[in-house]
Amino acid sequence: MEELKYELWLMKLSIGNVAKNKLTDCLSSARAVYEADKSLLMSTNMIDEEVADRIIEDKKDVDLDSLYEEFLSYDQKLITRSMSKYPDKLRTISSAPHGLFYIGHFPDNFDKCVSIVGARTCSEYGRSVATELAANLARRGYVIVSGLALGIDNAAHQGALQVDGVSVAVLGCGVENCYPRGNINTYTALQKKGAIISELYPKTKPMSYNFPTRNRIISALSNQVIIIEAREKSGSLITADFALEQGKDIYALPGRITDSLSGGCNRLIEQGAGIITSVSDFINNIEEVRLDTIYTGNDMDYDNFFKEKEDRIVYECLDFYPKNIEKIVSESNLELMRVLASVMNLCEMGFAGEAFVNQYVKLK
Amino acid sequence: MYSSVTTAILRGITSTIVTVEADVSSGMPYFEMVGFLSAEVKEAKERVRTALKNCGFVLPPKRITVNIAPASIKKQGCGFDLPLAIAILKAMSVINDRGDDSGSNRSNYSGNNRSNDGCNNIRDDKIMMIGELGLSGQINSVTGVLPILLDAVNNGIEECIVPYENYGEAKLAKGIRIIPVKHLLNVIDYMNDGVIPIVEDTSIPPEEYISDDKYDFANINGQKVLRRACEIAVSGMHNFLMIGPPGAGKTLIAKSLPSILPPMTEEECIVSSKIASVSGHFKDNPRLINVRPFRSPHHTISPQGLIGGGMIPKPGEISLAHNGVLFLDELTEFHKSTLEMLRQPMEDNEIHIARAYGTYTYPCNFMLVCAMNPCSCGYYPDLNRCRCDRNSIRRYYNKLSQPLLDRIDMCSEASMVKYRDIVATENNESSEVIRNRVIKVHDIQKRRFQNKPYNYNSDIPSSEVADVCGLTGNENKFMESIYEKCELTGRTYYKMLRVARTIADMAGEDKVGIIHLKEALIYRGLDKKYIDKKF
Repeated sequence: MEELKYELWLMKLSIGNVAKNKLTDCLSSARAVYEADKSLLMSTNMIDEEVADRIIEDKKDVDLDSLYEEFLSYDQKLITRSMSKYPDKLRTISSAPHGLFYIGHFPDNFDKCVSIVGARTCSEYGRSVATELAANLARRGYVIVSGLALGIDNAAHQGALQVDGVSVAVLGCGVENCYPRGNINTYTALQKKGAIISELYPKTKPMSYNFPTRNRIISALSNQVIIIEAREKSGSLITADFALEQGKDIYALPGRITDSLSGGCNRLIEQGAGIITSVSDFINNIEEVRLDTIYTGNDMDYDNFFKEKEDRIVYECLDFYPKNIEKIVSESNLELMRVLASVMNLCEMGFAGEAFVNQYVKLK
Repeated sequence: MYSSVTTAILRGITSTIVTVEADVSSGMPYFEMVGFLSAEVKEAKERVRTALKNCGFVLPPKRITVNIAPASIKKQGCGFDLPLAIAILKAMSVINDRGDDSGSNRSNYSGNNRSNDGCNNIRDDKIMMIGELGLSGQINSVTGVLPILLDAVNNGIEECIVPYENYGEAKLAKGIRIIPVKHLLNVIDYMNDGVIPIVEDTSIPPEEYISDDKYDFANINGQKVLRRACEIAVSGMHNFLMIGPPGAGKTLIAKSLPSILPPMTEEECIVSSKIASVSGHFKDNPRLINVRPFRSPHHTISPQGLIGGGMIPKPGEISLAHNGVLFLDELTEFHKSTLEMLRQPMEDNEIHIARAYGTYTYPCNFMLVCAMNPCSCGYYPDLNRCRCDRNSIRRYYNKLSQPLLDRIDMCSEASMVKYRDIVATENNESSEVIRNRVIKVHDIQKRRFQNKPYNYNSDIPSSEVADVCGLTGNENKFMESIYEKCELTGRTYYKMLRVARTIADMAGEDKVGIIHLKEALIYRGLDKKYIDKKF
């Protein structure tokens, strides 16, 4: 407990991660850093005078006991580099966080870990593939890491949670802060079965500049990074950059060249990223085992499934992108009233859903 | 000497008979007006005095008292000038008094060379007059002549002297003799000698609906869903919202709606004309309104402009759209507070505007048609073109309140028109064909609601919806399943049933079937849940 005080102080200290790591490596513990005077700090040759001054200044204002009391009230836990539970994969990256605050259950190891990231405004296609991938990976014991953002991130967490798998969300704010609020269900579910982690001190507000840096933790924790849907200038590509830097395998979900949401992914594939051709192919690839096809989305026995011929025609016109009735009418060459009836039948059977006013998407 | 003249004061679209009494008696020279008068009525004193002088009548240096009775009603408007002047002239004995209720003076014509026709056989209290005076004695037009005359007929008034400019409008009232006058001297001549001023007939025959080729459903290519939705909405007078990207043709379709609206009944014509008269719309175009109004106010409209208001409350756009269509283009651009004001009048079908001196009531049973984009850039949910994030879309929809959306029965999408559709020369159904079908559905509703206080499916109170729809086992089961699945609420449930009733009426069915319910489900109103929808 005694040590934790010093760790907390060091976590809160506003100097770079690299400096923190060098100092603790050199002086052996956070406590030693706290107790060191300026000359000792300078003698490590790890930091310049300005940083040393800042450390000395900071010590004057901080009361370690109250810092500790305050932390206990947050009901969060802290893992630092000095602890064995600290993931080894994180130690090796250049600006490894000095510690991670978390709530929930911190996974014991990240040996089998895949991160799935992508667009916030995603299509039904991206959402369903992300869920499918996460569910099948989590079922095989993989930890699914993502960023709790809307859209793909949320779908990935949900996919893992659906099969009772482990999932970790890395936030760009204090972990007590569910950001964005819309994902409160995922947030609470993650605490039971996974963890919500952040390198930022509790009560840090979600600020835009904190989000790109948390992406390096997402990629570092995993062996493979999957980008599901990204535009040409997407934030998800930052994660891909970090992954590249850290030597991780990058996979991207291909999309149609006319869909701008797939622009970033297709570009990654062009540059040499792995391509996701099916969920089973991906798992075979990373596990080097032979699996039967898992993703059976298109293997249905259409001919006998639909009671009415028109239902099938309309189903085939539907897509994972919202399509309006107008378009379905012109593509299917059916009467308007017939299309309306079929669409409603499909909705009833759970094959289609209403995405917007008069716009429908395929669900299976 | 005492005299009295009958006139009327307008309150909303109804009027009350009031009497202008004048008394000229000996005493200190003095001119006083009493009777709960507003500023513009008090000013009448100066106008009348000068007008009389310019017509050659100088007010005698006597004690002149004018009272406008009953004193309990606030007197507003400019129509009092003429009755006031005549009352004074009568009291001065310039005009012969031909009696009131007592009828005792009727034969006392004092040797004037009156002819036997004209007004000489009508008692003075059966003659009403309204008009504003200019300083030279000319008589200027006033607003609201039609409702005043219609009420006057019911009150047993037989003759009315109106400003010449209001003649066309006044002639719309049947059962009352109209004497149009241009000048105060005309009135004096008429009252004394029965000389009717020569007037040209300025009235315009009632407007027939002339189909405007520009706005006809025959010109609308594609948009099959929207066309169908429009027909349903008009058939049941359901409030209707169109959502679609810019340039999809929402405004064009809305403007074509009048071409498929059925004609108005006589009763409806009269109420609409009354409203037009009160708001002064008759000045240039005095004809009976027998075409359903189509009002499309700009989104910068003020609350008073929309629901009615002013010191003397005038009807707003919602009342002008009575029995017709109120079209709000770019719905999200309206001030939220302005839109919220629609809620109560939409429920009650009339608007009560309260002022310190009384409440004005205007009818406002309109069909609300709105158009809006699906998000601020206009392309959601086409993610290839829409770059709005969830929050900005949410903010966009927060401009509309759920209670207002709940009052909109139907919602449909206006999709982007494809090139193939634009250049197509296919024969679209023309407005006339659609209109004939709509008329049939309106007739069905009229028959069904004969003994009810409402006329259209959209007005069925929720307590009676189930009866009118006549759902049976299967249909109830279907509704139960979708109630849970589509997260309907009580209000959306009844809304759906009303729309389904209209769809069934269009198919000529007595009972609402599953197929009708399914179609109604497609036009279910906009729900903010779309934005956060996850499958």
